[in-house]
Amino acid sequence: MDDGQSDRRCPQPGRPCSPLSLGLLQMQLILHYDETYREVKYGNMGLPDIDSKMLIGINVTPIAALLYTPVLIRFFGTKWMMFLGVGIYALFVSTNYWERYYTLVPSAVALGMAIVPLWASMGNYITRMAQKYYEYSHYKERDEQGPQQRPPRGSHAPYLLVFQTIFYSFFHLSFACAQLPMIYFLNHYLYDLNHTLSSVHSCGTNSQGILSGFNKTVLKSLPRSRNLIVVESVLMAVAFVAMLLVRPTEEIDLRSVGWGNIFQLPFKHVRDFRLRHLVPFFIYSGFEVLFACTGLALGYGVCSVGLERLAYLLVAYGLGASASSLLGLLGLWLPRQVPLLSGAGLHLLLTISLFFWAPTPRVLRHIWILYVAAILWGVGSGLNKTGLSTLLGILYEDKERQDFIFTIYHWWQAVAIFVVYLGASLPMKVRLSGLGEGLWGIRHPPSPSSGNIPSECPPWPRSPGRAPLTKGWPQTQTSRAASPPEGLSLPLAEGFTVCSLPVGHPSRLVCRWVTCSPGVGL
Amino acid sequence: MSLGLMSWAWTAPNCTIGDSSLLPNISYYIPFCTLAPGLHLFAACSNIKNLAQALRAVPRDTEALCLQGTVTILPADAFGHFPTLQLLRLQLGAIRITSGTFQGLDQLQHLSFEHHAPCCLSLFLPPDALEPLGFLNTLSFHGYCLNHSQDVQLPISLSRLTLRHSCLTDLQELQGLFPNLVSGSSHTPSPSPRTPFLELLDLSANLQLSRVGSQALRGLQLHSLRLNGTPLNVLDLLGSGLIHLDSLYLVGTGAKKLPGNVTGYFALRALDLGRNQVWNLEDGDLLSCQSLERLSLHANGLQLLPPSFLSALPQLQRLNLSVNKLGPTLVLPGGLVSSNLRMLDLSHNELCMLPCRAFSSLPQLQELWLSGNNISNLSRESLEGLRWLKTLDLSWNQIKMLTPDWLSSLPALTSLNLLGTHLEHISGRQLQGPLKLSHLQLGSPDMMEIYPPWPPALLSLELWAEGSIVFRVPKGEPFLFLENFTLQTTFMLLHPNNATLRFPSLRHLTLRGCSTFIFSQRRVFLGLPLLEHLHFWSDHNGAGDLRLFGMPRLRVLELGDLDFLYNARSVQLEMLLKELPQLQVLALSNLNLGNLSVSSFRGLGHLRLLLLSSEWALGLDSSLQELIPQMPQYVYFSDVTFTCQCESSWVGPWATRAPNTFVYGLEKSICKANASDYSRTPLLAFLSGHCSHDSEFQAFLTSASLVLLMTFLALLSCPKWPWLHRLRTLFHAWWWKLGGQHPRNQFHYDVFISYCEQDQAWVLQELVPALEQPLPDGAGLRLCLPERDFGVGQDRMDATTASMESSRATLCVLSHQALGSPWCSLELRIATHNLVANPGTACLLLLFLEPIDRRLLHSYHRLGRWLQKEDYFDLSQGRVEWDAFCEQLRKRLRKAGRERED
Repeated sequence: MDDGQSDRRCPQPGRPCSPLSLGLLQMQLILHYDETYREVKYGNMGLPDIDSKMLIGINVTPIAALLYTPVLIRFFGTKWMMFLGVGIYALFVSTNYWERYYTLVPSAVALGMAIVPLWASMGNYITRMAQKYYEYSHYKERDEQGPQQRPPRGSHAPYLLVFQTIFYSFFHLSFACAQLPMIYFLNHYLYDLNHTLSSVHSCGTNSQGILSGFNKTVLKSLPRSRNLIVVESVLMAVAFVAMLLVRPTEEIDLRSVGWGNIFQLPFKHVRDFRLRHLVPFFIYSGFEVLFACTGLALGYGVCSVGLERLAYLLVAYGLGASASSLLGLLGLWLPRQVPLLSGAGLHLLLTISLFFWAPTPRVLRHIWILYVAAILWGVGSGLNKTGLSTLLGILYEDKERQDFIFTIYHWWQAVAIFVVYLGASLPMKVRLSGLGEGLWGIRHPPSPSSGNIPSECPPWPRSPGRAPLTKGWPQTQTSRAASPPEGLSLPLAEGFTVCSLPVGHPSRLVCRWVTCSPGVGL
Repeated sequence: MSLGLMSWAWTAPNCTIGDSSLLPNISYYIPFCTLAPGLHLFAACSNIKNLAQALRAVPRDTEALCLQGTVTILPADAFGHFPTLQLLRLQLGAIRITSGTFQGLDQLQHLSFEHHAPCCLSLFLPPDALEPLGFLNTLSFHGYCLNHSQDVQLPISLSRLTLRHSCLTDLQELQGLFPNLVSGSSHTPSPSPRTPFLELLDLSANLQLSRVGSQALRGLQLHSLRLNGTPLNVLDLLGSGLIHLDSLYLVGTGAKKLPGNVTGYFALRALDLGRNQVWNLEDGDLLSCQSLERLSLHANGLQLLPPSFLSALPQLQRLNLSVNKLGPTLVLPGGLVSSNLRMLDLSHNELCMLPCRAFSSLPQLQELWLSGNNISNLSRESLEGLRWLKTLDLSWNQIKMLTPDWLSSLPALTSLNLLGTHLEHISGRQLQGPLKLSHLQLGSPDMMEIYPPWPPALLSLELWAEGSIVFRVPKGEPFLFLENFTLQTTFMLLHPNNATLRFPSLRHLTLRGCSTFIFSQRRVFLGLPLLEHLHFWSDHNGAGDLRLFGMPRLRVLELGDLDFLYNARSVQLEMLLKELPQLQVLALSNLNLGNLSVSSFRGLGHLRLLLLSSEWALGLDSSLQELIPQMPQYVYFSDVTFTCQCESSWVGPWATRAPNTFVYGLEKSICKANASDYSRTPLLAFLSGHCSHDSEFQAFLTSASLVLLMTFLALLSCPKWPWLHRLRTLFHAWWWKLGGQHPRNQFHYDVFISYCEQDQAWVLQELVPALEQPLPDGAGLRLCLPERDFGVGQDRMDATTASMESSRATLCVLSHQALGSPWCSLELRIATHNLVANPGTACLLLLFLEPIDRRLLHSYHRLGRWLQKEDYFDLSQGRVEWDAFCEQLRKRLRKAGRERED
């Protein structure tokens, strides 16, 4: 497969914007943390309160995403949704020029609203693009076979794998790039660890909450507002470029048409049997990303080696994740579950070893361990993210379902992030245990009660009375179920049931318990 | 709680906040707040109107609080925010105190209420007001009457009670006021614990206090009692029931004789009779004063001491006889040798001569004060016998000459003061004798020359001479152990010219009036490795280059009246401060600093106090705002005029809100735009009025609107969505309507006219003029006539279809010939098709020139369904209705046009 071509065909539009906002948010939170800066610049505006409301807005709003994301994606279409999401990210960057309650909090809420739709549509888009690219590169063969012939199931999987790999590699790379403002701007203003950590006594597994005892002043000198405006303008320019990259020029057969029972469908999909078994993965995926940012980077990193090395730790994490996303290509040769499970296993090992490690504050001797831990955690993250998105694209080929599936994935992730956010003040041991618990849950997914066992999965019914306006793959209902994918088949996926509700029959809301044949699901 | 307790000072309006360790430098700014020793953070607020508002800005860990202003009531828990408060001084006028006012002040040790003029304000103290103060040590009322208060419970820890300038008339009143202080005879013993012992009871300046009721102070154990300025008869104290008294102060009571009875009764150890009229001391009184150890007869007009004076007071250790008339020749009573007198103060007694062996009867004398007399001649003999004398003060006498051996009889002398004398040449030989002479002060009105050898143990040296001081040091003799050096002169010279003078142990250096030449000649203060304090006030004459180097331990630097910074200003300050890494206090006064920037203060990490005073056109560069986190804890601006420039706009938020710095004096500072600006604009008003920070807001507005614009433009240009298309058309129509015009339509014509060749003449002559001519003659419509408007070589079919689509309406002129014509039939068919395909937008009008059977019409049944009555016109009945027809036709076309627009 021609990687260069696939790269060209695979735009990664929101790529710079999401970590960009993360970097900006991180910078602003550090600036706002400093008491002198806060008081001198904002006086009695109550900035800590605003910041906490902002974080609530970002973390809580996505909980409702399951309700509105499919509607938004259906209304605007995938690419438009991405464009609007990036626009909201840009708006958030813009409000950071002028920080007031009525700019920051609404934009944070909007940002929280945009996260899940943006990511869901991004996953959807990449999957569709991979499918389209497969279609494009196999055009002649398919033409000879006859236009009505559907490509064999799972045939686009390698393409999807490469696409997702490239996307996540770039995404995690931009995660590292998001630290550039820290490295080139803010680090010059920070006190060293002897000042900031002067009253920090316990780190790592012994710590409680986020950086208790951290000095209230972290800025050695205050950045001038002119310099801040320059930095923010650079970020703003990047956000604009991202918006231009996503510019919704043409809509390539991306929208699922028809509204159907769009409000019920997400909930029906939540109960999809394959998804249900992936839910621990989704949740752990949310846990680990926020744990990397708060637990590992703050509780272990900043707490022991100072704020001035936070950026470098996150760069290490980003680069590790970026490189290991490329490792996802191993999925072309190895069984598909290997990268996914090895990522989770790596995280489990790291979690266990972190559980027994309490770095000494203000000691730089063990900094290499931190870098190694950050890189390894990044490796796990990269494998996890890439593998999960690829797997979803492989499992759910028809585009009618993809937006729901990706919505549910990112919604679970958002719920997990919200839980981590809630538990930020807990002792580190409790948090690590929670994380380990989540990882353990992957190994023992809930096993639904079994019932009557027909031999094959029920086909996904189509809406009656609606002409198939998309001319992609005419779906012969038997072909999908009849040809089980050869790829990932976890040993645990044996004999479980699914409660699948037929689409388009709102009156028939009765659950049909169906059991799949072993090995079909994953 | 932990946040509030951090020792950070905030700039508070009207309040001065400081650390008492910095008091030597900032005491000028807090005139009304004298502090107890051992307190650190203090706050002094003046002009208080609203107590709660004023206290809000005071740091919570303040230990001393002085409040001045007018407040009517101290509410309950008024000072609960300051749990560490140890000293509270209130000058708040007529206040009402509630019982819970002092709640939470567990650590308070000193509490005073003061009102200075005129006496006296009434103050009501609730009985339990002082109960929360478990550690109260000092309680003081100054200028308040407590007549209305009763039964105030004093804390048992109290040891000093002051009621000055009050309206006490009888000591008996204390019983009712403080029942646990004095157990009155009539009262039953109070249930609360007694105050066991009072160190000081100060009732000075109670101008009406003349009576002592019997047993008024029954049971009170008192160390000292001050009755200065009261008309009380001291003898009445004998019946007051006072058990024990050590010291009695009777300054300015108008006493004419020693209170011998009282002294004898209480066996007083200290008695102060300053500023009275005790002209004579009688032997009888003296006899009962045997217990006295300290006696002060300052300013009494004494002319003579009785011969038995010293023998009658065998315990006397300190005797103050200053400002009397014991001169011109000192006659001390001889006789018995007083073995105990340690201190004798004879200053300002008009003494001219000290006779030989004048002090021989005082062998134990350690301090002798003789300043302000007219002594001109001193000899070894007159000071004979003072073997233990340590301090000798001869300042401000007329001494012109000293014999070389005049100190040889004072082997224990450590401190010698010769300021204000006329000694112009002082050699070390004249100071030989005492081996431990460590403190030396020398002064002369005009000039002074000093010769070695220096006293070997000299620690402190002070030299005053208006004109010049010349050190003649042929061998460069260093001051080996000198720690303190004060020099007030214009020129300090070294002789010979190549000599150097070293001070290897110097810690404090004070230079007043010297030119900067003293530093730049590099011969005097060459290396001062131990110097900690440097005070340098120049005389404005020096233009040299001041470089402070070789002072690695300098902590306090005060510079004043230097003009050397006139050129290349901030660079100079930077150079000056470059090699002073340990600097903690920097006080700059009248230096013409100009613009201060970040480079001036680089590397001063330990700076705690920055004091800028008497500056003209001071500018604070915007680069300084980077330094805000490292600013010294206290920054004082005093009598500073700033430059009106927006570069300093960071100053306002910094001064009012920076949590690590207390800034004093910006509120009252003014600024000047240029040298001829006399408008006296307050600096903060100028900054808030002229320098607004809009750039951030503008950047936000610009970027946010760009993002929104981009999104909306992209939304609007997306062709895929029908709802968006409709929205756009609606908006388009609304926009044109808003402008009061019809949209520039997509219709090129108003009416497409279909007719056959036979009807052409009628059409051209009748119909076209009526429709096409401009108003009011015709309808002013744009017509499309196939024969006229179709292009040459155009396909007629295509042209017909296109023209019909770009016309608002199609008018078919129907006659029998027309129905027979293939083109007319085709056009009617196309029009009918349009009508059916685009209902609501297409408009077909039929004009019958002659009666035609409707069934001859093509697809009549379809037309009948789609056409309304007003859509066809019948002209076959004659020409009478022509005008009406035209009107109706125009109306219908207008309506069709409107419909299509909507």
